[in-house]
Amino acid sequence: MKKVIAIFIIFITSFSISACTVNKTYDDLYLEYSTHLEDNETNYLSTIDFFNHVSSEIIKSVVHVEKEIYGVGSSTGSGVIIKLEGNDYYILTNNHVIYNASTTVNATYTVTDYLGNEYSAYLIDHSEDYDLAILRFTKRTFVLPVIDFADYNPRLGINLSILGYPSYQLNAITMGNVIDYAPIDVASSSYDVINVLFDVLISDAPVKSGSSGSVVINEQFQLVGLVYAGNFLDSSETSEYTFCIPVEKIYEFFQLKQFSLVVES
Amino acid sequence: MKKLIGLFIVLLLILSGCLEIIQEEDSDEYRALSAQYDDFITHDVLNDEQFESFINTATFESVLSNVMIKSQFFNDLNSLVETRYGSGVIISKGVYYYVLTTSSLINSDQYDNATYQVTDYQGRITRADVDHGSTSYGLTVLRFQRTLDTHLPAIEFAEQMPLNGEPILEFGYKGKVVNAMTMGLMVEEYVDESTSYHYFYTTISSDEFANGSAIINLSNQLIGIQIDVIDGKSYAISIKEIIEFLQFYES
Repeated sequence: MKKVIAIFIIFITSFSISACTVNKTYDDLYLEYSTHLEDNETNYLSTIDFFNHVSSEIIKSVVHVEKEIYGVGSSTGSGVIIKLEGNDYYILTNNHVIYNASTTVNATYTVTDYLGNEYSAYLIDHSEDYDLAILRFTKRTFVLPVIDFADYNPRLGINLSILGYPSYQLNAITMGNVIDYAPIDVASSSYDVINVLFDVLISDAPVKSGSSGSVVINEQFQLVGLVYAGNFLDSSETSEYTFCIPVEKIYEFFQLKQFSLVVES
Repeated sequence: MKKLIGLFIVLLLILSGCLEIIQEEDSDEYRALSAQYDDFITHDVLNDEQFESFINTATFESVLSNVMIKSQFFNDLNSLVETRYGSGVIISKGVYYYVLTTSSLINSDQYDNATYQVTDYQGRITRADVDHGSTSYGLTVLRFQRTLDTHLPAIEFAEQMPLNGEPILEFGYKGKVVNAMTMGLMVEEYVDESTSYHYFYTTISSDEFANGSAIINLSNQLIGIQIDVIDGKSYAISIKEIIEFLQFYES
Protein backbone atom coordinates (compact mmCIF):
# COMPACT_ATOMS: atom_id res chain seq x y z
CA MET A 1 0.00 0.00 0.00
CA LYS A 2 2.82 2.33 0.94
CA LYS A 3 4.46 1.78 -2.41
CA VAL A 4 1.26 2.69 -4.21
CA ILE A 5 0.94 5.91 -2.20
CA ALA A 6 4.60 6.77 -2.84
CA ILE A 7 4.20 6.20 -6.59
CA PHE A 8 1.04 8.30 -6.49
CA ILE A 9 2.85 11.18 -4.76
CA ILE A 10 5.77 11.00 -7.19
CA PHE A 11 3.32 11.01 -10.07
CA ILE A 12 1.44 14.00 -8.65
CA THR A 13 4.73 15.85 -8.05
CA SER A 14 5.99 15.25 -11.58
CA PHE A 15 2.65 16.23 -13.05
CA SER A 16 2.48 19.41 -10.96
CA ILE A 17 5.99 20.50 -11.89
CA SER A 18 5.40 19.97 -15.59
CA ALA A 19 2.01 21.68 -15.39
CA CYS A 20 3.28 24.79 -13.64
CA THR A 21 6.39 25.38 -15.78
CA VAL A 22 6.01 28.67 -17.68
CA ASN A 23 7.07 28.59 -21.29
CA LYS A 24 8.62 31.87 -22.46
CA THR A 25 8.60 32.37 -26.20
CA TYR A 26 10.33 34.95 -28.41
CA ASP A 27 7.05 36.91 -28.54
CA ASP A 28 6.78 36.94 -24.73
CA LEU A 29 10.34 38.27 -24.41
CA TYR A 30 9.76 40.86 -27.15
CA LEU A 31 6.62 42.03 -25.34
CA GLU A 32 8.51 42.30 -22.03
CA TYR A 33 11.29 44.31 -23.72
CA SER A 34 8.82 46.61 -25.52
CA THR A 35 6.75 47.11 -22.37
CA HIS A 36 9.89 48.17 -20.48
CA LEU A 37 10.57 50.79 -23.18
CA GLU A 38 6.96 52.01 -23.26
CA ASP A 39 6.69 52.23 -19.46
CA ASN A 40 9.86 54.34 -19.27
CA GLU A 41 9.29 56.56 -22.33
CA THR A 42 8.59 59.67 -20.22
CA ASN A 43 11.83 59.19 -18.27
CA TYR A 44 13.81 58.66 -21.47
CA LEU A 45 12.33 61.80 -23.03
CA SER A 46 13.19 63.85 -19.96
CA THR A 47 16.82 62.60 -20.03
CA ILE A 48 17.03 63.25 -23.78
CA ASP A 49 15.61 66.79 -23.46
CA PHE A 50 18.11 67.60 -20.72
CA PHE A 51 21.08 66.31 -22.68
CA ASN A 52 20.01 67.94 -25.95
CA HIS A 53 19.65 71.32 -24.21
CA VAL A 54 23.19 70.98 -22.84
CA SER A 55 24.65 69.80 -26.16
CA SER A 56 22.84 72.23 -28.44
CA GLU A 57 22.30 75.38 -26.30
CA ILE A 58 24.66 75.54 -23.31
CA ILE A 59 27.61 74.49 -25.51
CA LYS A 60 27.24 77.82 -27.37
CA SER A 61 28.51 79.71 -24.29
CA VAL A 62 31.70 77.65 -24.11
CA VAL A 63 34.86 78.86 -25.85
CA HIS A 64 38.35 77.65 -26.59
CA VAL A 65 41.18 79.90 -25.34
CA GLU A 66 44.63 79.91 -26.91
CA LYS A 67 47.57 81.81 -25.48
CA GLU A 68 50.59 82.57 -27.60
CA ILE A 69 53.82 84.07 -26.33
CA TYR A 70 56.32 85.00 -28.98
CA GLY A 71 59.45 82.89 -28.64
CA VAL A 72 57.87 80.65 -25.99
CA GLY A 73 55.01 78.92 -27.80
CA SER A 74 51.30 78.42 -27.34
CA SER A 75 49.00 76.62 -24.92
CA THR A 76 45.25 76.17 -24.75
CA GLY A 77 42.33 75.87 -22.36
CA SER A 78 38.62 76.53 -22.19
CA GLY A 79 36.44 79.39 -21.02
CA VAL A 80 32.81 80.44 -20.73
CA ILE A 81 30.96 83.59 -21.74
CA ILE A 82 29.73 85.30 -18.55
CA LYS A 83 28.63 88.73 -19.76
CA LEU A 84 27.72 90.73 -22.85
CA GLU A 85 27.98 94.49 -22.40
CA GLY A 86 27.67 96.70 -25.43
CA ASN A 87 29.81 95.05 -28.07
CA ASP A 88 32.02 93.22 -25.60
CA TYR A 89 31.82 89.65 -24.42
CA TYR A 90 33.53 88.76 -21.14
CA ILE A 91 34.77 85.27 -20.55
CA LEU A 92 35.90 83.46 -17.42
CA THR A 93 38.87 81.11 -17.57
CA ASN A 94 41.79 80.05 -15.35
CA ASN A 95 44.74 82.20 -14.37
CA HIS A 96 47.10 79.38 -15.40
CA VAL A 97 45.51 79.33 -18.88
CA ILE A 98 46.37 82.99 -19.50
CA TYR A 99 49.51 83.21 -17.33
CA ASN A 100 52.53 84.87 -18.87
CA ALA A 101 55.81 84.47 -16.98
CA SER A 102 57.66 86.81 -19.32
CA THR A 103 58.04 90.41 -18.25
CA THR A 104 59.27 91.50 -21.65
CA VAL A 105 57.03 89.75 -24.15
CA ASN A 106 53.25 90.18 -24.18
CA ALA A 107 50.95 87.21 -24.55
CA THR A 108 48.29 87.27 -27.23
CA TYR A 109 44.98 85.51 -26.69
CA THR A 110 42.65 83.99 -29.28
CA VAL A 111 39.17 82.87 -28.36
CA THR A 112 37.32 80.41 -30.62
CA ASP A 113 33.55 79.93 -30.36
CA TYR A 114 31.61 76.66 -30.79
CA LEU A 115 31.40 77.17 -34.57
CA GLY A 116 35.13 77.72 -34.95
CA ASN A 117 35.03 81.55 -35.33
CA GLU A 118 38.17 83.17 -33.93
CA TYR A 119 38.41 86.44 -31.98
CA SER A 120 41.33 88.36 -30.51
CA ALA A 121 40.89 88.66 -26.75
CA TYR A 122 42.35 90.92 -24.06
CA LEU A 123 43.11 90.26 -20.42
CA ILE A 124 40.91 92.24 -18.01
CA ASP A 125 41.90 90.83 -14.65
CA HIS A 126 43.26 87.71 -12.97
CA SER A 127 44.20 86.14 -9.63
CA GLU A 128 46.46 83.22 -8.76
CA ASP A 129 44.68 82.91 -5.38
CA TYR A 130 41.50 81.88 -7.19
CA ASP A 131 43.16 80.60 -10.39
CA LEU A 132 40.65 82.74 -12.29
CA ALA A 133 40.94 85.29 -15.08
CA ILE A 134 38.61 87.44 -17.14
CA LEU A 135 39.16 88.08 -20.84
CA ARG A 136 37.23 90.34 -23.20
CA PHE A 137 36.59 90.09 -26.92
CA THR A 138 34.50 92.08 -29.36
CA LYS A 139 31.15 90.82 -30.58
CA ARG A 140 30.43 90.33 -34.27
CA THR A 141 27.00 90.13 -35.86
CA PHE A 142 26.71 86.58 -34.63
CA VAL A 143 25.24 86.42 -31.09
CA LEU A 144 26.65 84.03 -28.49
CA PRO A 145 24.63 83.24 -25.35
CA VAL A 146 25.78 84.15 -21.83
CA ILE A 147 25.78 81.43 -19.16
CA ASP A 148 23.52 81.74 -16.09
CA PHE A 149 25.09 81.56 -12.63
CA ALA A 150 23.83 79.52 -9.67
CA ASP A 151 23.55 81.47 -6.40
CA TYR A 152 25.18 78.83 -4.20
CA ASN A 153 27.65 75.97 -4.36
CA PRO A 154 26.02 72.66 -5.34
CA ARG A 155 25.35 70.15 -2.56
CA LEU A 156 27.14 66.79 -2.38
CA GLY A 157 25.69 64.23 -4.78
CA ILE A 158 24.25 66.79 -7.22
CA ASN A 159 24.55 65.83 -10.91
CA LEU A 160 26.98 67.96 -12.93
CA SER A 161 27.89 68.39 -16.58
CA ILE A 162 31.30 69.67 -17.71
CA LEU A 163 31.69 71.38 -21.09
CA GLY A 164 34.97 72.35 -22.66
CA TYR A 165 37.76 71.65 -25.12
CA PRO A 166 39.94 68.96 -23.51
CA SER A 167 43.17 68.09 -25.36
CA TYR A 168 41.96 70.05 -28.41
CA GLN A 169 38.75 67.96 -28.58
CA LEU A 170 35.98 70.24 -29.78
CA ASN A 171 32.70 70.64 -27.88
CA ALA A 172 33.25 67.87 -25.31
CA ILE A 173 30.66 67.04 -22.63
CA THR A 174 31.17 64.77 -19.62
CA MET A 175 28.99 64.08 -16.59
CA GLY A 176 29.33 63.14 -12.94
CA ASN A 177 28.48 64.28 -9.41
CA VAL A 178 29.75 66.51 -6.61
CA ILE A 179 31.58 64.12 -4.33
CA ASP A 180 33.37 66.44 -1.89
CA TYR A 181 34.74 69.87 -1.01
CA ALA A 182 38.37 69.83 0.15
CA PRO A 183 41.67 71.69 -0.25
CA ILE A 184 43.88 70.37 -3.06
CA ASP A 185 47.61 70.84 -3.43
CA VAL A 186 48.44 71.34 -7.10
CA ALA A 187 52.08 70.44 -6.59
CA SER A 188 53.00 70.80 -10.25
CA SER A 189 52.27 74.52 -10.28
CA SER A 190 54.25 77.44 -8.88
CA TYR A 191 52.45 79.71 -6.41
CA ASP A 192 52.38 82.72 -8.70
CA VAL A 193 50.32 80.67 -11.19
CA ILE A 194 47.98 78.69 -8.91
CA ASN A 195 47.76 79.44 -5.20
CA VAL A 196 44.28 78.13 -4.37
CA LEU A 197 44.12 77.49 -0.62
CA PHE A 198 40.37 77.14 -0.04
CA ASP A 199 38.14 74.03 -0.32
CA VAL A 200 37.46 73.27 -3.96
CA LEU A 201 34.62 71.33 -5.55
CA ILE A 202 35.64 67.73 -6.30
CA SER A 203 33.70 65.80 -8.93
CA ASP A 204 33.90 62.29 -10.34
CA ALA A 205 33.08 63.57 -13.84
CA PRO A 206 36.13 62.63 -15.93
CA VAL A 207 38.06 65.23 -17.90
CA LYS A 208 41.17 65.07 -20.05
CA SER A 209 44.30 67.09 -19.58
CA GLY A 210 43.82 70.51 -21.12
CA SER A 211 40.29 70.88 -19.70
CA SER A 212 41.25 73.88 -17.58
CA GLY A 213 38.59 76.57 -17.81
CA SER A 214 35.80 74.12 -18.68
CA VAL A 215 32.45 75.19 -17.29
CA VAL A 216 30.66 73.06 -14.68
CA ILE A 217 26.84 73.31 -14.71
CA ASN A 218 24.04 71.90 -12.58
CA GLU A 219 20.75 70.37 -13.76
CA GLN A 220 19.24 73.87 -14.05
CA PHE A 221 21.96 74.68 -16.63
CA GLN A 222 23.58 77.22 -14.26
CA LEU A 223 27.32 77.65 -13.77
CA VAL A 224 28.35 76.11 -10.44
CA GLY A 225 32.09 75.96 -11.00
CA LEU A 226 35.08 76.17 -13.29
CA VAL A 227 37.52 73.26 -13.78
CA TYR A 228 41.11 74.12 -12.80
CA ALA A 229 42.79 70.73 -12.24
CA GLY A 230 42.37 66.97 -12.34
CA ASN A 231 44.26 63.93 -11.10
CA PHE A 232 45.56 62.08 -14.11
CA LEU A 233 46.60 58.60 -13.06
CA ASP A 234 48.36 57.54 -16.24
CA SER A 235 49.06 58.43 -19.82
CA SER A 236 45.44 57.79 -20.78
CA GLU A 237 45.01 61.46 -19.92
CA THR A 238 41.58 60.98 -18.40
CA SER A 239 41.20 62.09 -14.80
CA GLU A 240 39.65 60.07 -12.03
CA TYR A 241 38.62 63.24 -10.20
CA THR A 242 38.11 66.78 -11.39
CA PHE A 243 38.83 69.82 -9.23
CA CYS A 244 36.79 72.98 -9.72
CA ILE A 245 36.64 76.52 -8.34
CA PRO A 246 33.14 76.63 -6.77
CA VAL A 247 30.71 79.37 -7.79
CA GLU A 248 30.75 81.11 -4.38
CA LYS A 249 34.53 81.57 -4.72
CA ILE A 250 33.98 82.90 -8.25
CA TYR A 251 31.63 85.54 -6.79
CA GLU A 252 34.32 86.37 -4.21
CA PHE A 253 36.86 86.82 -7.03
CA PHE A 254 34.44 89.13 -8.90
CA GLN A 255 33.94 91.21 -5.75
CA LEU A 256 37.67 91.44 -5.15
CA LYS A 257 38.22 92.60 -8.72
CA GLN A 258 35.12 94.85 -8.67
CA PHE A 259 33.71 93.03 -11.66
CA SER A 260 29.93 92.92 -11.95
CA LEU A 261 27.82 90.45 -13.91
CA VAL A 262 25.09 93.09 -14.10
CA VAL A 263 24.99 94.88 -17.44
CA GLU A 264 25.01 98.66 -17.07
CA SER A 265 22.45 100.38 -19.26
CA MET B 1 2.57 8.06 8.26
CA LYS B 2 5.45 10.38 9.11
CA LYS B 3 7.07 9.58 5.79
CA LEU B 4 3.87 10.43 3.95
CA ILE B 5 3.59 13.75 5.77
CA GLY B 6 7.24 14.39 4.90
CA LEU B 7 6.59 13.66 1.24
CA PHE B 8 3.53 15.90 1.33
CA ILE B 9 5.57 18.80 2.75
CA VAL B 10 8.23 18.28 0.07
CA LEU B 11 5.47 18.31 -2.55
CA LEU B 12 4.10 21.59 -1.15
CA LEU B 13 7.54 23.19 -1.18
CA ILE B 14 8.10 22.15 -4.79
CA LEU B 15 4.68 23.45 -5.81
CA SER B 16 5.19 26.76 -4.00
CA GLY B 17 8.39 27.36 -5.98
CA CYS B 18 7.10 26.12 -9.27
CA LEU B 19 5.90 29.52 -10.49
CA GLU B 20 9.55 30.50 -10.85
CA ILE B 21 10.31 27.71 -13.29
CA ILE B 22 10.58 29.34 -16.71
CA GLN B 23 11.21 27.26 -19.79
CA GLU B 24 12.85 29.60 -22.34
CA GLU B 25 12.38 29.07 -26.06
CA ASP B 26 15.27 27.13 -27.54
CA SER B 27 16.01 29.15 -30.67
CA ASP B 28 18.81 31.38 -31.98
CA GLU B 29 16.31 34.19 -32.47
CA TYR B 30 15.27 34.02 -28.81
CA ARG B 31 18.87 33.87 -27.56
CA ALA B 32 19.84 36.88 -29.69
CA LEU B 33 16.92 38.95 -28.35
CA SER B 34 17.64 37.83 -24.80
CA ALA B 35 21.30 38.88 -25.10
CA GLN B 36 20.23 42.22 -26.60
CA TYR B 37 17.72 42.82 -23.79
CA ASP B 38 20.30 41.94 -21.12
CA ASP B 39 22.80 44.29 -22.76
CA PHE B 40 20.21 47.05 -22.95
CA ILE B 41 19.30 46.71 -19.25
CA THR B 42 23.02 46.85 -18.37
CA HIS B 43 23.36 50.17 -20.22
CA ASP B 44 19.85 51.57 -19.67
CA VAL B 45 20.05 55.33 -19.07
CA LEU B 46 17.22 55.30 -16.49
CA ASN B 47 19.95 55.08 -13.90
CA ASP B 48 21.95 58.35 -13.49
CA GLU B 49 25.25 56.53 -13.18
CA GLN B 50 24.64 54.57 -16.41
CA PHE B 51 23.54 57.72 -18.24
CA GLU B 52 26.72 59.51 -17.16
CA SER B 53 28.80 56.50 -18.18
CA PHE B 54 27.09 56.42 -21.59
CA ILE B 55 27.75 60.12 -22.26
CA ASN B 56 31.34 59.93 -20.95
CA THR B 57 32.09 56.94 -23.19
CA ALA B 58 30.46 58.67 -26.16
CA THR B 59 32.58 61.80 -25.55
CA PHE B 60 35.92 60.10 -24.87
CA GLU B 61 35.62 57.09 -27.20
CA SER B 62 32.83 57.12 -29.80
CA VAL B 63 33.15 60.76 -30.85
CA LEU B 64 36.86 60.27 -31.58
CA SER B 65 35.71 58.36 -34.71
CA ASN B 66 33.72 61.35 -35.92
CA VAL B 67 34.78 63.42 -38.94
CA MET B 68 33.35 66.42 -40.71
CA ILE B 69 33.46 66.21 -44.53
CA LYS B 70 33.76 69.05 -47.00
CA SER B 71 33.22 68.17 -50.68
CA GLN B 72 34.04 70.67 -53.42
CA PHE B 73 32.95 70.19 -57.02
CA PHE B 74 34.53 71.81 -60.08
CA ASN B 75 33.49 72.26 -63.71
CA ASP B 76 35.62 71.67 -66.84
CA LEU B 77 37.25 75.10 -66.35
CA ASN B 78 38.26 73.99 -62.86
CA SER B 79 36.00 76.61 -61.31
CA LEU B 80 34.38 75.79 -57.99
CA VAL B 81 30.70 75.14 -58.64
CA GLU B 82 29.39 73.61 -55.44
CA THR B 83 30.49 72.94 -51.86
CA ARG B 84 28.74 70.40 -49.63
CA TYR B 85 29.27 69.81 -45.91
CA GLY B 86 28.38 66.70 -44.00
CA SER B 87 29.54 64.05 -41.57
CA GLY B 88 31.20 60.66 -41.54
CA VAL B 89 32.54 58.05 -39.16
CA ILE B 90 35.78 56.06 -39.13
CA ILE B 91 34.91 52.38 -39.57
CA SER B 92 38.35 50.78 -39.98
CA LYS B 93 42.02 51.62 -40.20
CA GLY B 94 45.04 50.13 -41.87
CA VAL B 95 47.43 52.09 -44.02
CA TYR B 96 44.56 54.56 -44.28
CA TYR B 97 41.63 55.57 -42.13
CA TYR B 98 38.38 54.53 -43.81
CA VAL B 99 35.37 56.79 -43.34
CA LEU B 100 31.77 55.77 -44.00
CA THR B 101 29.40 58.47 -45.20
CA THR B 102 26.39 59.03 -47.41
CA SER B 103 26.81 59.04 -51.21
CA SER B 104 24.73 62.21 -51.54
CA LEU B 105 27.59 64.14 -49.96
CA ILE B 106 30.21 62.68 -52.28
CA ASN B 107 28.48 61.97 -55.59
CA SER B 108 30.17 64.03 -58.33
CA ASP B 109 28.47 62.59 -61.45
CA GLN B 110 27.39 65.97 -62.81
CA TYR B 111 30.80 67.58 -62.30
CA ASP B 112 34.23 67.19 -63.91
CA ASN B 113 36.27 67.09 -60.75
CA ALA B 114 35.84 66.84 -56.99
CA THR B 115 38.01 67.19 -53.90
CA TYR B 116 37.24 65.98 -50.38
CA GLN B 117 38.48 67.15 -46.99
CA VAL B 118 37.92 65.49 -43.63
CA THR B 119 38.22 67.29 -40.30
CA ASP B 120 38.71 65.03 -37.29
CA TYR B 121 37.31 65.51 -33.76
CA GLN B 122 40.22 67.83 -32.89
CA GLY B 123 39.76 70.00 -35.96
CA ARG B 124 42.71 68.65 -37.99
CA ILE B 125 42.06 68.84 -41.71
CA THR B 126 43.24 66.16 -44.17
CA ARG B 127 42.60 65.53 -47.86
CA ALA B 128 40.56 62.38 -48.58
CA ASP B 129 39.81 60.21 -51.63
CA VAL B 130 36.91 57.99 -52.55
CA ASP B 131 37.72 54.33 -51.81
CA HIS B 132 34.44 52.83 -52.98
CA GLY B 133 30.74 53.61 -53.07
CA SER B 134 27.33 52.34 -54.05
CA THR B 135 24.45 54.45 -55.23
CA SER B 136 21.98 51.66 -54.51
CA TYR B 137 22.99 51.53 -50.84
CA GLY B 138 23.55 55.30 -50.81
CA LEU B 139 26.85 54.76 -49.00
CA THR B 140 30.44 55.73 -49.79
CA VAL B 141 33.76 54.97 -48.11
CA LEU B 142 36.43 57.68 -48.13
CA ARG B 143 40.02 57.06 -47.12
CA PHE B 144 42.63 59.42 -45.74
CA GLN B 145 46.24 58.97 -44.81
CA ARG B 146 47.36 58.21 -41.26
CA THR B 147 49.95 60.49 -39.72
CA LEU B 148 52.24 59.99 -36.76
CA ASP B 149 50.29 62.31 -34.49
CA THR B 150 46.79 61.06 -35.25
CA HIS B 151 45.38 58.08 -33.37
CA LEU B 152 41.75 57.83 -34.31
CA PRO B 153 39.66 54.81 -33.30
CA ALA B 154 37.20 52.96 -35.53
CA ILE B 155 33.61 52.76 -34.31
CA GLU B 156 32.34 49.39 -33.09
CA PHE B 157 29.40 47.84 -34.97
CA ALA B 158 26.18 46.64 -33.30
CA GLU B 159 24.89 43.16 -34.09
CA GLN B 160 21.23 43.97 -33.56
CA MET B 161 19.00 46.96 -34.22
CA PRO B 162 17.43 48.62 -31.17
CA LEU B 163 13.72 48.15 -30.53
CA ASN B 164 11.28 50.99 -31.10
CA GLY B 165 11.47 53.44 -28.20
CA GLU B 166 15.12 52.81 -27.30
CA PRO B 167 17.26 55.91 -26.63
CA ILE B 168 19.97 56.44 -29.24
CA LEU B 169 22.59 59.12 -29.93
CA GLU B 170 23.83 60.74 -33.13
CA PHE B 171 27.16 62.53 -33.47
CA GLY B 172 28.29 64.54 -36.45
CA TYR B 173 28.36 68.04 -37.88
CA LYS B 174 24.77 69.08 -37.12
CA GLY B 175 24.34 72.85 -37.25
CA LYS B 176 27.96 73.05 -38.50
CA VAL B 177 29.11 72.23 -34.96
CA VAL B 178 32.02 69.77 -34.91
CA ASN B 179 31.29 66.77 -32.64
CA ALA B 180 27.65 67.82 -32.12
CA MET B 181 25.87 65.12 -30.11
CA THR B 182 22.08 64.75 -30.16
CA MET B 183 19.93 62.14 -28.46
CA GLY B 184 16.55 60.79 -29.50
CA LEU B 185 14.46 57.64 -29.66
CA MET B 186 14.39 54.89 -32.24
CA VAL B 187 10.98 55.16 -33.93
CA GLU B 188 10.58 52.31 -36.38
CA GLU B 189 12.33 50.29 -39.04
CA TYR B 190 11.21 50.56 -42.63
CA VAL B 191 11.97 48.09 -45.41
CA ASP B 192 12.14 49.49 -48.93
CA GLU B 193 10.05 47.16 -51.11
CA SER B 194 12.13 47.63 -54.26
CA THR B 195 15.54 46.96 -52.67
CA SER B 196 14.61 45.17 -49.41
CA TYR B 197 17.04 47.51 -47.65
CA HIS B 198 16.34 48.40 -44.01
CA TYR B 199 16.08 52.03 -42.93
CA PHE B 200 14.82 53.58 -39.71
CA TYR B 201 13.09 56.71 -38.45
CA THR B 202 14.20 58.46 -35.27
CA THR B 203 13.13 61.41 -33.11
CA ILE B 204 16.65 62.89 -33.34
CA SER B 205 16.39 66.54 -34.33
CA SER B 206 18.75 66.97 -37.29
CA ASP B 207 19.75 68.86 -40.42
CA GLU B 208 21.54 68.27 -43.75
CA PHE B 209 24.99 68.87 -42.21
CA ALA B 210 24.43 65.71 -40.17
CA ASN B 211 23.97 63.56 -43.28
CA GLY B 212 26.58 60.80 -42.90
CA SER B 213 26.49 61.03 -39.09
CA ALA B 214 26.86 57.92 -36.99
CA ILE B 215 23.93 56.81 -34.84
CA ILE B 216 24.84 54.62 -31.87
CA ASN B 217 22.93 52.53 -29.31
CA LEU B 218 23.41 52.70 -25.54
CA SER B 219 26.36 50.30 -25.84
CA ASN B 220 28.10 52.94 -28.00
CA GLN B 221 27.90 50.71 -31.09
CA LEU B 222 27.02 51.89 -34.58
CA ILE B 223 23.43 51.10 -35.57
CA GLY B 224 23.08 53.34 -38.63
CA ILE B 225 24.17 56.28 -40.76
CA GLN B 226 21.94 59.30 -41.32
CA ILE B 227 21.12 59.52 -45.02
CA ASP B 228 18.36 62.12 -44.94
CA VAL B 229 16.29 64.46 -42.79
CA ILE B 230 12.54 63.88 -42.74
CA ASP B 231 10.36 66.46 -40.95
CA GLY B 232 13.46 67.76 -39.16
CA LYS B 233 14.35 64.31 -37.84
CA SER B 234 17.22 62.00 -38.70
CA TYR B 235 16.41 59.16 -41.12
CA ALA B 236 19.06 56.45 -41.41
CA ILE B 237 20.18 53.31 -43.17
CA SER B 238 20.43 50.32 -40.86
CA ILE B 239 23.58 48.53 -39.68
CA LYS B 240 22.40 45.39 -41.54
CA GLU B 241 22.80 47.19 -44.87
CA ILE B 242 26.06 48.84 -43.80
CA ILE B 243 27.60 45.44 -43.03
CA GLU B 244 26.22 43.99 -46.28
CA PHE B 245 27.62 46.93 -48.26
CA LEU B 246 31.07 46.63 -46.66
CA GLN B 247 31.18 42.83 -47.07
CA PHE B 248 30.22 43.13 -50.74
CA TYR B 249 33.25 45.36 -51.41
CA GLU B 250 35.60 43.33 -49.19
CA SER B 251 34.80 40.21 -51.23
